[in-house]
Formats: sequence, structure tokens, C-alpha cells
Amino acid sequence: MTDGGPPPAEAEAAAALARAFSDEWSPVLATLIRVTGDWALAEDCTQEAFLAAVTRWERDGVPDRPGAWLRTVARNAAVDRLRRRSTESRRLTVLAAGEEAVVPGAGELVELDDESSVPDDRLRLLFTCCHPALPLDGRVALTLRTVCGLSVPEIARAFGSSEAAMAKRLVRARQKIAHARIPYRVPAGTELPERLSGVLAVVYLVFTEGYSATAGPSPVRADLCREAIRLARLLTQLLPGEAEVHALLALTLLHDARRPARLDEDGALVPLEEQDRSRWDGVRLAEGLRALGEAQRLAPGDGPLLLQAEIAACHSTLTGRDWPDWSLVVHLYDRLLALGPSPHAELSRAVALGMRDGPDAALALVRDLARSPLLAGTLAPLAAEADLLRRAGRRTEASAAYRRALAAATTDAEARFLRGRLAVLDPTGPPGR
Amino acid sequence: MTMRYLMLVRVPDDARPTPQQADPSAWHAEAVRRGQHLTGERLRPPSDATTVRRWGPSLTVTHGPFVELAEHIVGFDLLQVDSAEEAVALAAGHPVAGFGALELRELWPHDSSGGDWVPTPGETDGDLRPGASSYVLLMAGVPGAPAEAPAGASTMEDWIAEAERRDADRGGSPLRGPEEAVTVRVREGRTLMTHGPYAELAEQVYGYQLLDVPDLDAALELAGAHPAAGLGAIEIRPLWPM
Repeated sequence: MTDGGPPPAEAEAAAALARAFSDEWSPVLATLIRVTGDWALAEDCTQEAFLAAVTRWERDGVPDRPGAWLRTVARNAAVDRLRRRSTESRRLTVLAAGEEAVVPGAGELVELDDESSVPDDRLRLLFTCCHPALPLDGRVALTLRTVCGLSVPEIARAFGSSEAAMAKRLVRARQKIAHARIPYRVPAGTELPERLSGVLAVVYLVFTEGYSATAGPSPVRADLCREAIRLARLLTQLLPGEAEVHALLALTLLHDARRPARLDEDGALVPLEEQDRSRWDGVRLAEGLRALGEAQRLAPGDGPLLLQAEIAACHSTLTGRDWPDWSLVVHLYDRLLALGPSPHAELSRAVALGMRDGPDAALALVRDLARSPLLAGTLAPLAAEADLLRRAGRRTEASAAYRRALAAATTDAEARFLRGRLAVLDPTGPPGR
Repeated sequence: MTMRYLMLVRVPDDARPTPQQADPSAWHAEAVRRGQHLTGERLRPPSDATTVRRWGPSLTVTHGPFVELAEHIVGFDLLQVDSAEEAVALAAGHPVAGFGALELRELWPHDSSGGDWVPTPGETDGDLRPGASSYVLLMAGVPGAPAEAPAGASTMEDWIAEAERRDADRGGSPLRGPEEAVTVRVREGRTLMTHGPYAELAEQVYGYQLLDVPDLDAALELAGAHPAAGLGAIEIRPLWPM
């Protein structure tokens, strides 16, 4: 035994437990929900199994198949609780009716030891968490809790809400599943594409919330980015034939690869064209491009995530001076907008157009978009306008536009960046907010 | 002449009746004894509702009721009476009249389906199977809905045939317009009658349908195929057996 450090058995158990939590929480829970049909009970029993592992693995050693061990312990806990429940309800029935009644209970649990159904259970879990009959915030919270295994305080912190509010949101979502009888299944045939895009939207929302948090001191929440990428990767394993699934993985990886260069040493946002490309994560970039290639191979046509991943790839070239190919970017945005209206995509297209044809070509478009209902009052169109004016050399107008943008900034990183621009344009003026 | 009314039971969000105040069992027993009660159900709260529209080629599913209101539908009863006055008197005796409102809407059956759905008086649960998932579909008019059904949309006859094929149809009917509604409240011992629905809104219930299906996805599929999903919205509310 080494001095100071934990004894080897303890350290080994702790490492195995951490690994098991990251790998087995969701599969064990997914199976328990299927066999018990009760989300709250399944979560309690899964938690109980992990708690049991804390003491037992240290004492008896780590089992050969930790997942199977956890599943068995969780199943036994469920059997116990259901048996107790059925005894109670039988007692009640006996009290009420004066006779013995048959109550379904522990005996009805389906055999668990067959692990071939585990991937299906995880898909069932994802599709049910992302069912459109649940409120969007509930879908996101439930996915992070049950599929990613994040704790309630962790999810509450990530979304800047109180623990009590987040716990309530989860309870409501689980209750709606039970009361409205949202089925625990993977949608079939014609339903699948629409429902899958709902699942992908939830995962992408987790990522964008992590990548550019809507409030707070830090604009990046790495934990949410990591969970979203994990979910996207899991989906590519569960549904390897779906192009949009690979496109989502590509899109999240390509953005995440640039994360190390997104903030400077003072914590200010660094615009893409000024980022130090040597700080990008080459491994993520390569994996993202591979996933993009797989998506293109599966469906050369236009999917919304595929087009966005292709745009992200245009912005991810590590070499070359005249990057990206702005004509291609504008063309990709045109195809994206042909799939459905999106003011955000229109704004990005206008910015790309400004890069291709010069700032004057884009200014009117950007100003129009700043008045559209979805973008009015938000930072993006104001910052874009200020940047176009700066590029056009209209310094006075640009300074005024940066001040308006500064008033709409919601994170410190955005404000720092805008103040930096202002200081260069108008070194003698007031520093802004 | 017998008239049939759907009585929508509406309760304000902030009502806090005691269980005794809210207990409809005495009212129910009396209505059944008089042969005026055909069926009735309590509904799960609006937070358990799901709303569907099919205003284009694809189905839009949203969480919650078709409109968020301070007074929501908590249940309904199907009444068979000889006159509008009798319906009002029956509604005024309901316990919810004391702290909520009862909206009476006369049924307006399709000619082709008018005769086959009526449950026997007193048969409170209709044909709903115990243990199955039962829902009520509330067909609503909503602003912005298309004025006419798209080409190729299923007709009411198609829909009824499909619901019957799935053994899901447990009765339903369109209702006469909200302008013909009567809303009944009882305050301080006085029966207050309002002509018109309980609130002037663009969103009003125009029909209802009881379904017995395996789960919410099956209900979504059937609701999405209903003609009303193309001309308004359909709220799917799980029943809440007493």
C-alpha cells in the first residue's frame, strides 16, 4: 500500500464505478423502465444498484461484467419494491372486498439477462424522452437526467435554473408520460423520420446551449457540449443508417473543435476569422469530417443538419488564406433556406454574402433582419451590422452600431469582444457599458 | 322532444374547493335516476394534454391544450333532457356551478352517425374498457387555421370507419356553435345564466370524440387523421377515472 493514496482495491473500485456510471447508467435505467413500466421506480432502483456497488465492489472486488451486475441488482430491487407494493395493495383489496385478489406484481417482470435488447432499450428511452407531447424544456431535462445520467443540480446549473424548479420539471415530464400514456417504443416506419428529427433537435439544443450559453459569465459550458456529442455518437451507433444522425455528430464535433480558440486570454469572444487555428482540436476536427463524409455517403441530398455540417466544414479549413469559400457558403445557405424559413440562417447567409460581395451588399439585408420578430432586440443582427460598417470603413456609424450591440449583449464574453472593437474604432470615446 | 347536451365542466385555476364541495356523486346519482345522464368523464389536467394539427402535409404535435386559459375543462357530462330549461336546471345543481362554470352545448350529430353512438342512460362508462387508455378528443376552432380541407383529406365517414375498424370509437359528436351555448354558474344561491360560451374567444370547442386506444401514439395517429385536425386543432386529453 502506498502512503497517503487510497488502498488499491478502493482505487480500483472507484475507477470501475466511475466508468460504469458513464457507460451503464442509461442502459440499466432504459431496461428497468421497459420491464417495470414505471419511470420513477426504475430510476430509484438504478440509483440503488449504483449505491450498492460503492460498498460491494470495494469489499468483494469489481465484477467481471459490471453492467450485468448492476442490472441484476437493480432488477432485484425492483422485484422487492413491486412485491411490497402488491402486498400492500392486496391488503387494501382484502380490507375493501374481504377477499383475496390477484394483483400483478413482481412475477410479471420480464427476464432481464438477455442483453441483446439493450440497444433497443436505449433507443426507446431516447425517443420517449424526446416525445413531442412533452414540453421542450422537459424533453431536454429528461434526456440529460436519464440518458446522460446528469444529476438534478448539474442540469439546474447548466440551465441557470433552481434545483427545485428543475426537479419539478422532471417530475412533470415523468407524470405526463405516465398519465397521457406516452408509449415506451421506437416509432415505426413513416413516423420515424419526423420523430427522429425531434430527437436530433433536442441533442442539438443541448449542444448550442453549451456552446453559447444564453446567460451568465461564461459563454461556453463544456459539460453540455460533451454530453451532446456523447448523445450524437450514441445515436450513430444505434441508428448507423441515418444520414442526419452522422451529420449531427459532424456538426457538433466541428464546432466543438474550435472551442479552445473561441475565447482570448481575457475571456473575450474571438470571431472565427481571427481565431488562432493552431489551437483548434485536430482530433475532433478529423472525427467531425469523417462523420460528415459518412453522412454524405448515406444521403447526398439535402438534410438540414447535413447542410449545416457542410457549412461548418467550410469554416474549418486549417490552411489557406482565402478561407472559407464564401460562394459555396452562400450556396449552402440558399439550399438550407429552401428547406424551411429560418431568420438565423438568413442572417448567416447575409453575412456570408457580405464577405463574398462586400459589406454594402449585405447591409440592407442585415438591417431588415434586425427588425424581424424573431431577431429583433437580439445581439446577432446588431453585431453583424456593426461589423459590416467597420469593414466598409464607416467608423462613426460603426461605433454607434457597436454601442447598440453592446446594449443587447447577454454574456461577459460578448461584451468584452464588443468593447474591444469599440476601443479600436474610437479610442477616445466612452468605453461603453 | 329530447335534446342532448354536452356539458363542459370548467374550473378556474385558482379555485380551491373542498373535496366535499367538489364531489359530484350525489348530483350524478340523481341525474341518472331521472334518466337524464348518458355518460360523463373526469379529465386529466391540461398539463397532460397534447394538441395536434395537420395544416399541411405533416402532423404538428404540441404539448398542452389548444389554448392556455385561466378556466379549463376538467370534465364533461352528456345529458338527455326535454328542454333547454331542464338542461340549465340540471347544470345549476352540479357542485362545480358553485365555484366554476358549466357550459351547455347542444349536440349536432352528423346525419350519417347520429344514431349509433348514444349510450344507454345510466351507463356511465360507455363502452370504455377497464385498464385501456381512454382519451377525449376536443375539436377546436383556432385562429389561422385553413379555411378548407386540403385535397385528399379524409372525410368524416372515412375516419369513423377507420376508428371502428380499430375498435377505438367510443362515441362523439359535433356540437352546435358556441354562440348557441349557455353557461351556468351559481353564486350566493343564485343561478346566473350567460348566453354564449364561458368566455368570448377565438378558440372554441366544436366537437368531441371518445377514444379507446393502446397509448398516446395511437391516439395521435387517429386524431391526426380526423378532418378537424386540418381545419383547427384537436386536443387529446386523457380520461381520469374517479
